[in-house]
Amino acid sequence: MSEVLNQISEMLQKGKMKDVAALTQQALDEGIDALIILNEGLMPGMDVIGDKFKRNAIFIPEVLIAARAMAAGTDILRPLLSAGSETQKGTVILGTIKDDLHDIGKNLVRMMMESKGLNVIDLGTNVQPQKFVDMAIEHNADIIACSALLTTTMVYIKDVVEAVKASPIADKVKIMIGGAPINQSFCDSVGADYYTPDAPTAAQTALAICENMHV
Amino acid sequence: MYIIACKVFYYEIQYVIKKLNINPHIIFLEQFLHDNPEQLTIELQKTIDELELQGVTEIYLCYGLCGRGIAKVRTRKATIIMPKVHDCISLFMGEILEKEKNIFWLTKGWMEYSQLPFLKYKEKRFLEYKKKYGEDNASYLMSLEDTWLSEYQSAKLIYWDHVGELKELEESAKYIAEKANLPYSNIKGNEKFLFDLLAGVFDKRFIKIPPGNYIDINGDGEIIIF
Repeated sequence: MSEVLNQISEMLQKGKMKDVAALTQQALDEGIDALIILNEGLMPGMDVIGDKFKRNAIFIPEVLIAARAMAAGTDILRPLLSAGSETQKGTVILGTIKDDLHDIGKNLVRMMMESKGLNVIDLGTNVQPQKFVDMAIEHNADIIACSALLTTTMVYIKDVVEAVKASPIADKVKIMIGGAPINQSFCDSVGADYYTPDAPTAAQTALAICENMHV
Repeated sequence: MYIIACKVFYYEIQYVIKKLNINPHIIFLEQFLHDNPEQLTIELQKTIDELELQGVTEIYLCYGLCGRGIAKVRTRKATIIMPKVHDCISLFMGEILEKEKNIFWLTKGWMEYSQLPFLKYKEKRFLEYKKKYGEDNASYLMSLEDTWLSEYQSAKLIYWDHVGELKELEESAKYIAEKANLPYSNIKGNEKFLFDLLAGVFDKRFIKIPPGNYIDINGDGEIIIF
């Protein structure tokens, strides 16, 4: 593997945004394909970050600055990448549920999902259950990902599940949920498809779902 | 009487036990456990276990469900009595009511143990981030910190008569609101809910958890005993 791709991964892991941008450009100047830079330079770096975070070897600040460094690289590559299946692994509708204003975790999920090559439509916070479904239909989404941080708002996730069941995309879209008070048994009780305990797992799971769907 | 309480209630509990003329054994757990419900569960369970070893058979919890931090705690032989609420706001307001939405709530304890230290150590955090990640990344991380309240519409102080001086409390509350770029207002709460809990009143506002059982929410959001 080209040394510059290793360096991109290393600098990304250290959160060195300017170095990642400069090395990404250098890799392009060396004639390396944009898709190779993405898949063999940037993404492996982010995979290491995700893995370390899950093992509590690093914490949220390290993940945030690594995601920012990744974005610096992908911003340079974006115009050169075709909007094909290699770069758009799938589409996720993401949001924090109705009456809930927490967004830090959701934003981290977005960054990690985008680092996996997923197209994320972030609806923000306080999202009405039906809106998740409407946007999933509009964007031909593979996944609806709901976040809830309050025990008083997590119950609205059930409304999202019901809205999906009543919609034309009932058999197509998968529902992922997460947030501090959420757990697997809640996921099972409301009929959501997947529960993920942290942002890296959410991104990995979303990618796996999309790859499975698009086989 | 044995009470385990979140430190956010420190001042309100002192007022109520004086009014009730009781001298309970109170263990306060740190307010920052609010940010980590899993850690809250661990600390609370440890404290309950220690009380049970001492032969305590009835434990009052001054908590709500608190992000489900209370959900997994159990006793072997003791009964737990606690408010049947999702969070502490009702206890400050004096009754269970539907909360106004999009409000960043403030109380004396919340400001003292959470918000003011958070703001006070901002510069220290920036310097630590700068040392670890460089100035540019440190500025970025601090800018993210500044946005965490951006979705809220206003800051509101809940105050009680006889718990702190309103003028002093408002000074802190307005400072916090200004830093968060939120309009400020206040609302008067009262001690009735907390008073009734510690006076041993038992009605639908409270829940008694038998030994071996635990509370959690069901699929409809109701707090029930499992």
